[in-house]
Amino acid sequence: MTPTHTTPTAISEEWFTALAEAVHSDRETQVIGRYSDFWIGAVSPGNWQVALSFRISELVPAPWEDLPREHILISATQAGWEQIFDPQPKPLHHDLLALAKNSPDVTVSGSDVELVRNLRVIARLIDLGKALHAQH
Amino acid sequence: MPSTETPASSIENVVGRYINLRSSGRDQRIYFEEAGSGPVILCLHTAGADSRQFRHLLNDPDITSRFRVVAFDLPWHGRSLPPEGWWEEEYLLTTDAYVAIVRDFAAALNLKQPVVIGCSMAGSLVLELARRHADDTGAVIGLSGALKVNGRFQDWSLRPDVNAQQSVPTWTSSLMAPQSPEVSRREVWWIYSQGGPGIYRGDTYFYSQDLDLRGRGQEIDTEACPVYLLTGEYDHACTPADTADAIAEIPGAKGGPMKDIGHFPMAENYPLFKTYLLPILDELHPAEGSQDLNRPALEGTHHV
Repeated sequence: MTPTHTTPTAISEEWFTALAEAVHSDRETQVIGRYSDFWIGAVSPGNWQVALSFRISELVPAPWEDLPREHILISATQAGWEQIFDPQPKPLHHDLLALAKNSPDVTVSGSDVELVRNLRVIARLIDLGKALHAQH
Repeated sequence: MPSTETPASSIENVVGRYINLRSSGRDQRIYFEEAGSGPVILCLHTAGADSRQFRHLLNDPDITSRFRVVAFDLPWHGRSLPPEGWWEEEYLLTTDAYVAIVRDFAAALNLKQPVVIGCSMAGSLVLELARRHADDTGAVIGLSGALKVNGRFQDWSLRPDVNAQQSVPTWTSSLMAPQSPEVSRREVWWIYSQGGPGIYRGDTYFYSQDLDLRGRGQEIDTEACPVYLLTGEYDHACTPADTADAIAEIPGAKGGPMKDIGHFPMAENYPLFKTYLLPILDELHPAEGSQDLNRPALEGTHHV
């Protein structure tokens, strides 16, 4: 993926638009996400919140009001979001499930079933985010 | 008919066979692979996986020139079929059945005093083997094992609205080090994607529910059966701290954390894992002409 000159360096609502572009051009996501349909609520308390719709291999940021009742909620401080997308993470902070256990800055909640049901695609989204973040 | 550009090909020295035996009162058809000759290394795969995880060890001439390496698929795993009647029961691996199948397999092949290497649930199982059967176990090397590992037994993989073929391998992939080679990490994922329904869950019943050796480490005689425990620093299921607790409780146990690796060391990064394994094997069975016979394996921090 190639970040545009407008890609924000810090994780924010706008940053997820760049992630959506990366998802669109990622061959693996296009293959594994064809039948996926889920929502993530991404929150940085006191800073920003964004609803993310993943459907038919495409990630679409949406207004928070669009978030359906069944969704995965990832809430993290700004430091926590940096940990989630850290391309060179430290041990036991290297993965969303690891961070949910071990980082006080990251909370994963909402629907557990939605999380495990879509874990393969979510793991890929995070890998793409790490690659995007590594370019800054 | 060869193509115009004949591809390079090679036949591995690994040989696969089946053995029929009885264990825990049931007929079992067990698949195993082996290579090499010498003292036996018996390899035990992780929960929900199979013996392919040890293919690098089985193909390593530095090992097979000195050791007979044997790896088998547990019943319900890989090419070992479940026993008759499996469709009427919930698969839950118990400590007794697990110990029994390992010993029955070893006895059927007449494996004497094997060095038993187990990973994940098998990394904990080897401690129970050492506790119960030190006399006929040469040594144990537990990877990602501890006296008690919490939190791995969960029901979601049985839900019909969850595709366990994808979710279980991704769940377990989380335990690997991101810097392990991608092709190896993907292979670990692939092997997990081929597990039968409920088998990963049933294995974790042993790992996280049935086995609890806390307070019993003193019962393991490491003079009779040396114990080595190694855990990757990226492993958040059985953490290096969990393993350190086991080492502290078992008198004479050796080992510690492995840097830059996760929960599946022999599969996710064999070249790195080998640097931890060889000193242990050298200590247990010194190589001919070894110049460093007195060097203790894994004394101090972690890496020799």
